[in-house]
Amino acid sequence: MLKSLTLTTITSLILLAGPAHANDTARDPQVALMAAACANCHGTDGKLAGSIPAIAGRPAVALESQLLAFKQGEIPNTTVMDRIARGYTDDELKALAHYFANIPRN
Amino acid sequence: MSSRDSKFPRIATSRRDLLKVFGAGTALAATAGCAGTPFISRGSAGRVVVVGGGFGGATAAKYLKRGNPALEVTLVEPNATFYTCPFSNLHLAGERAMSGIAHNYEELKQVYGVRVIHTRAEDVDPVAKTVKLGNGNTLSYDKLVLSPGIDIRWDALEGYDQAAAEHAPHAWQAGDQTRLLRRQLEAMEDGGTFILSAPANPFRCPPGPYERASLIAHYLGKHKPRSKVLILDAKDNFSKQGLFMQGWRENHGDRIEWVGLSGDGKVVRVDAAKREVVTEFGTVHKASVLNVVPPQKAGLIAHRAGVTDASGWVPVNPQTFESQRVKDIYVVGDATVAAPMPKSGFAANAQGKVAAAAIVAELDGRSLPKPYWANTCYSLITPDYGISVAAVYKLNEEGQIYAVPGSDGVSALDAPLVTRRLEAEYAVGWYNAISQDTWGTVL
Amino acid sequence: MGTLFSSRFRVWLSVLLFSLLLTPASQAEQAWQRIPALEALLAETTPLRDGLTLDLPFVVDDGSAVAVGLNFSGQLQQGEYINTLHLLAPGNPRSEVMSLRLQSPQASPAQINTRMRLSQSQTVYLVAKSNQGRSWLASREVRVTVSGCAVADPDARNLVAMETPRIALPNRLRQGQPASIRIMINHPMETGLDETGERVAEANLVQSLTIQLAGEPLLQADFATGTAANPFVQFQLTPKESGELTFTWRDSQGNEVNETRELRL
Repeated sequence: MLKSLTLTTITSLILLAGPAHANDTARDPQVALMAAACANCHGTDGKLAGSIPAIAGRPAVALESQLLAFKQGEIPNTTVMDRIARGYTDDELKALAHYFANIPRN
Repeated sequence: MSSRDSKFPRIATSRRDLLKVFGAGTALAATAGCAGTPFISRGSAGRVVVVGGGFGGATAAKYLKRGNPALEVTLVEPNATFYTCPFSNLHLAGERAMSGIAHNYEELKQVYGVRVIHTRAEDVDPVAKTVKLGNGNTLSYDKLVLSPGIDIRWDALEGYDQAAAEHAPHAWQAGDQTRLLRRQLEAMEDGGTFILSAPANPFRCPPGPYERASLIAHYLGKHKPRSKVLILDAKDNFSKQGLFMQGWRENHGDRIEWVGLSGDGKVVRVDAAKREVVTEFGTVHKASVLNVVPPQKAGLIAHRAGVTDASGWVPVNPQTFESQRVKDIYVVGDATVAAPMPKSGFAANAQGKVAAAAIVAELDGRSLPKPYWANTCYSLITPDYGISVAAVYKLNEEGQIYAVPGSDGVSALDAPLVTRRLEAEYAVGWYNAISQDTWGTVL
Repeated sequence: MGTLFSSRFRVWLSVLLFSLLLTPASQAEQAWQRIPALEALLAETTPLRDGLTLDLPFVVDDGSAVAVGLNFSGQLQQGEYINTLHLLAPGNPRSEVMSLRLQSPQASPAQINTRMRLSQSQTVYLVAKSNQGRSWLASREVRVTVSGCAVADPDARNLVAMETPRIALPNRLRQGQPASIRIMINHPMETGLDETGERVAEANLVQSLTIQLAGEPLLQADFATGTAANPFVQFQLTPKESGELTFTWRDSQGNEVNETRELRL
């Protein structure tokens, strides 16, 4: 009884701990592989800034809402990001946003 | 080739084949026996040899070390400088120096600790798990990644052999061929005709011939305004066709003429010395500069390793890009059958990462990650007018690659000029980024 | 690990199964008997397999015009010759692709080339029949994808009738020497069908190409919905003597196009 309660508590704590969870996401090889395709235009780890902006270290909320806006076609004069964003589920976009938010810019 | 051969794995016919089947069968027994603690050489997390330092191979080497720095990764690539096919059309148009498409292996060596050997990989022994090198040495591997790119099928188009390519360059592998074609264009008289012969599918970089024709038309318009561009095509449909044709009308007037398969555009014979081609129904076209983009196949080492099929390309397990024919050999890039992913540098880079992640997981005894790939191909109709095709790819339930609906598509046909200009800028941004991601090049 | 293990296990299991338990031929045998169009063609015979080949790419990027090679090089008996070839794509909305009638020994069943449509991944079949009632069967599995970079032009040329017949004869012809002839006519080959095979418009097809040499029938090609636009046929002619070659195309609107070429040895 006590054991299972402890387990539940720990699980809840892990689930509630937003930043810690995000850091786990950043190290997760699965998310890393999904995010690796972004490097082709945004540089390794999303750090390259040029005509295409860097995405590393930007707030997760901002990245996520922008990705969702791309997906919904809400950003005018979009070139490829509307198409690319439609390739991922909302959950996948959230995971990508957290992944890049947790990478330091330099 | 009988119908059976396409459907069922070959029965071993030579000693080499027997060894392969035997070797693989042994591997099955080993895997079945103990649910997968792979044999790893003592003293390292595993030895991975990568053959080919292009988009696929260089990326695989880098991401292998990023995934597990304890791996011993060796990259075998003949050239110290690698020239990309992407953006080589800008060089042909006089808009970019060769140094602007040149890359080296310093980041891989110095930042990631990849051992780089500049020699040719001559042969692979999939049973002993060794790669024989042109410098006489032999490398052992736990996992082998081949990123061999394409070879020209010299036997496929009558009259087009290696000697012919010195008169009528293909320039479909960047480097000296690119320089040769550029010199010919510079020497071409005003009022001449540049002819490009485009092959049937599949071939490296499906929009490439049409971007090349566009940028050469741009160069001719500026410097030799009485000249024409004629594309003779073995297909009736080509990549981004509507966008290209619209872009040609808007930017190049009637300078570019395209003749497809149904208009007798398929070239069946080349006389390179005379710079003449003959089409399927006997029309002779004479060029001032002749560029033959010939039929292609997987690079030689893939054939040596026994991973190609009767098509001349390499079938792979989509989840890992491991060869369907030979265990522990992973193949990425243009050499593979990865359709609907195109044979592009972007796709090769994405495949290199998927193969690297699979190898890292396997050598570590972890479960395989779910693969994701993306592709964006920009094409320039002028240096300031760009179009694109993009898609995100995943695995379906049958284990096949598919383009996620809604993600795949081309730029809008009715997009304003500002979008075309933006896509041309993004094309440069993309090239800078993928060059940085693959080789660490700062452009 | 689990997924990899199982997929690799499956590959090797299939090697074992197919090499030890089943022969590929018996597999294909079972497959064709479930296809009505093939069963109808082969009803009274057990098809032979040796000598007939169907050459198609393993993976097709663009199913609208797939180059296909038909080749018969099998053993024939005294006085026996191949008189018909049927190409079928049962995975298409309609399975008929093309039938060829070889009406003279001068028209060879070897090295015939044409272009077909494939609407999806499937097994394509070729049936050859001889004047003595024997038949041959060849099949080929093809995977059809739309390459990410090969998106077709939405507003391609809008032909409605037969246009620009093209015929290519070799420069030099010799008596008794096989020579390759290429024939093409521009036409949209409008099936009038949607992807499911439902009729949504009237069909507009080139129905046949007939070729005569010196007034004698040489070859007839009957085209169908599975024939690619701009019907193309390449075959080998082994001429006996000089004469006039006549080519006649007929379409479903009742139009006819005629061409003649002088064949000099």
